Amino acid sequence: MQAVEQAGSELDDIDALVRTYRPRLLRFVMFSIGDADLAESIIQDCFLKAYNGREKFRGDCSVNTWLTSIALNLVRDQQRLQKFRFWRQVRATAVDVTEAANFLPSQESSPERTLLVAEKSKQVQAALENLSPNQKMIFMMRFAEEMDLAEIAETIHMPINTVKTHLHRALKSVRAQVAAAK
Amino acid sequence: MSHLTENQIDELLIGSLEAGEAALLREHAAGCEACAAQLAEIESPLESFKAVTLAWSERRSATLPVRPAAQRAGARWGLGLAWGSVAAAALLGAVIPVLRYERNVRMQEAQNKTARIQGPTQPAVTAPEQTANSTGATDDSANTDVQESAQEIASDNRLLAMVDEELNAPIPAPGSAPQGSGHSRANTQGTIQD
Repeated sequence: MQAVEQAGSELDDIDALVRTYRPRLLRFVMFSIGDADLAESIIQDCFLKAYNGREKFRGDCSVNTWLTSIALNLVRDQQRLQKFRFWRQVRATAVDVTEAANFLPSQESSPERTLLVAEKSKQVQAALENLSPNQKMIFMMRFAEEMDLAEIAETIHMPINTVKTHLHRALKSVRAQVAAAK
Repeated sequence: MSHLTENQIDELLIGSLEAGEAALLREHAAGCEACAAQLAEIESPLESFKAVTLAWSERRSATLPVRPAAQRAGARWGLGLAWGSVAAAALLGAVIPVLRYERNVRMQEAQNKTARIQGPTQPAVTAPEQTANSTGATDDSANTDVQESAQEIASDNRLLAMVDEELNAPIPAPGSAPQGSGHSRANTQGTIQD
């Protein structure tokens, strides 16, 4: 009950909410759909929806998981639009991983290390290209958001075994990219 | 313990093993160079991806407006207020014509009365002359005018008080509003007819 109240007050402070959760949510949406501009737009909607619907938060999951499930639904709404699919192919704004790697925290910042990290990250990004939208979202929830299987299953409304199957498929794809890079 | 299989490594990363079993596998990998290398081969790209993509999204998020969601939420509140104003304006818009109409009716009646009083002696007066005559009319008609304007003011005040009440009252349940306003209007009309 106390946790619910705490989360409730956390949801009331929209500034803190955006500051705390936006980077991770942006990453989740961006690497699920592969379009930075569209991801930003979805994230704006996500926070607006969360703020306006904050009374509905029951506190049976973390705020991060709740926000992720809102973002996930918005991503699915977008995917239902054929028009979106068309535009996504035409003008998707991809991420330059090598550039992004330059902004890693200082302990990662030796040039060789940065290059290596960027290279490995690229392999995973390439692996994501071979996954379905659901597989990408599940992959992001597990390997970026570090959600456990039960949380993922609940968020994406799938049986745990299906989630596992998708994750095995995703790891197979990563392995293939790692092998190809050797 | 034998070396980790590819499937065991995947299960470990996916998080589908019991805590005890996962700890055993981790323990083995920590002491076995071959298994550690095998685990790192898949775990290291995943860790790199996690770090790089977070660096990207943190930077991108920092370039976005400070509180876009709050502004839009505020705008929605603003919109709510705007709708409130529109509703209030609509209510006033509905009340003011009634006030004007009732005032016109009263003025018309006053003019008719004056015309009836003055009618037989000055049947062909023009409107400005009629006004001039009515201002300089008999004591009786002056008293009637004063009486009528006092009634008019009292009636207007009642109507304005009613409008205030309506505006300040919480939103009434459907069905309760017409009763109140109908009652007040009947009173107002009663005053005019008197």
